[in-house]
Amino acid sequence: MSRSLRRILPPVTLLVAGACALIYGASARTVPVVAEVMVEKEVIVLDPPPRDWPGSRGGPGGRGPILPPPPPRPRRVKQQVAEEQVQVTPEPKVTRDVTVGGITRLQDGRIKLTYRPGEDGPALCPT
Amino acid sequence: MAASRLDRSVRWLAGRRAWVQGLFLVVWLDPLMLRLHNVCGPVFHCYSCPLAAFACPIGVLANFSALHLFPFAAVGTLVVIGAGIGNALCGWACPFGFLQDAAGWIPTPRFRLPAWTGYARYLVLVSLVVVVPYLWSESHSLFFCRLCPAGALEGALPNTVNVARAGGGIVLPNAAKLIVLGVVLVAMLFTLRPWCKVLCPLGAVFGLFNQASMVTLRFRSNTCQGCGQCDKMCRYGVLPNRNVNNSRCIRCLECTKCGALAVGTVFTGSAEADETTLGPAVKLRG
Repeated sequence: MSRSLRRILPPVTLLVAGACALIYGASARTVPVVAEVMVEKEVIVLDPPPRDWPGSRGGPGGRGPILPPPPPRPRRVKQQVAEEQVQVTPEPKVTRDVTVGGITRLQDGRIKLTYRPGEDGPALCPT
Repeated sequence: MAASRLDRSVRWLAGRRAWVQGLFLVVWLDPLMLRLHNVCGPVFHCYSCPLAAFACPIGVLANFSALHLFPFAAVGTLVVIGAGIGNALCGWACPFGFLQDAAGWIPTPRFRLPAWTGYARYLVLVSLVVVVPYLWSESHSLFFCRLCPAGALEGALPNTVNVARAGGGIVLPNAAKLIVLGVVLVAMLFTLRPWCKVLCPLGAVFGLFNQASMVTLRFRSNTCQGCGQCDKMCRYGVLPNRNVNNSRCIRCLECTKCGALAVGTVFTGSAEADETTLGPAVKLRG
């Protein structure tokens, strides 16, 4: 290998490798991040038993045993519920989030946002 | 002829390095308030600084290590710049380096640190930036950002003032961080660039590329008289007479004023093959 090639090859190889890493990280690389998202869900709610129900004071004239209340009626209502979702996050967004402590690693190895998407994230680095 | 014109330009620029460093502050201090924190900057400037334009590469490396992720973009940025110009950004663009150079204008007695202290930078890089965050996460007290003097000066103290002004009371930042900042500020008065020479992990990364960057410093063996003048010119104690592309060199280019050292690239043709990166001191010993 000629002397000039030996001189040129290391920096050029490093430059190309660095450029590839930079382009991949900036444009293609994604990270699965768990985020707590508020979703509207239909949930079943059980109404409390009425205070007075037929038989709550015993039989006619107050005589006889007190009867148990009727079973609660299930009711379907729509509610905002926090749900964990895995979001595919581009590396530049992860970089931005680490600068404010907006992302952390859970003990089970998952990476989680410390704030809810759509809300204002932390403004300052926790350190 | 072209080479000598380049040499003259380089020497002219070397005499105005402080101006270049000042101009770069405009880039890092984000006058347009773009807050491009999803982009990794190439200098040691804390992203918690209210005026930081980019993310600090060391902070990103440490935090990604805590997340057990490889930071492709940050590493790519450092490798591209390192393979291009080596450690030159430390000498010409780093705001924390500029602060230390500015402290060097204060007339106090200066001491030279032994060269071996430079290896501590690699210890900081490997332990505090990579291993501690990887094993114990970002909440560990030895996590690099919790000790970083640039973070204390540019991020923690201004934000303490901002919070107090907003009526949130005085919430003092991490004491360890303030102590490290205090030690570095005092050390700046007695030696040039103490942080860069002994502890800076970013300088450690870029320093590795000094030997293998596109832009290099070279001795002209036909011009060099082996007088050792370049060693005396180097304010940072790098001793270019032994190895001009030493990993501790910040490429301030002061040594080029002696005339025997020149800035070149790896593409320099065979006509200048008599140029060498090893100085006369090595040749004499060899």
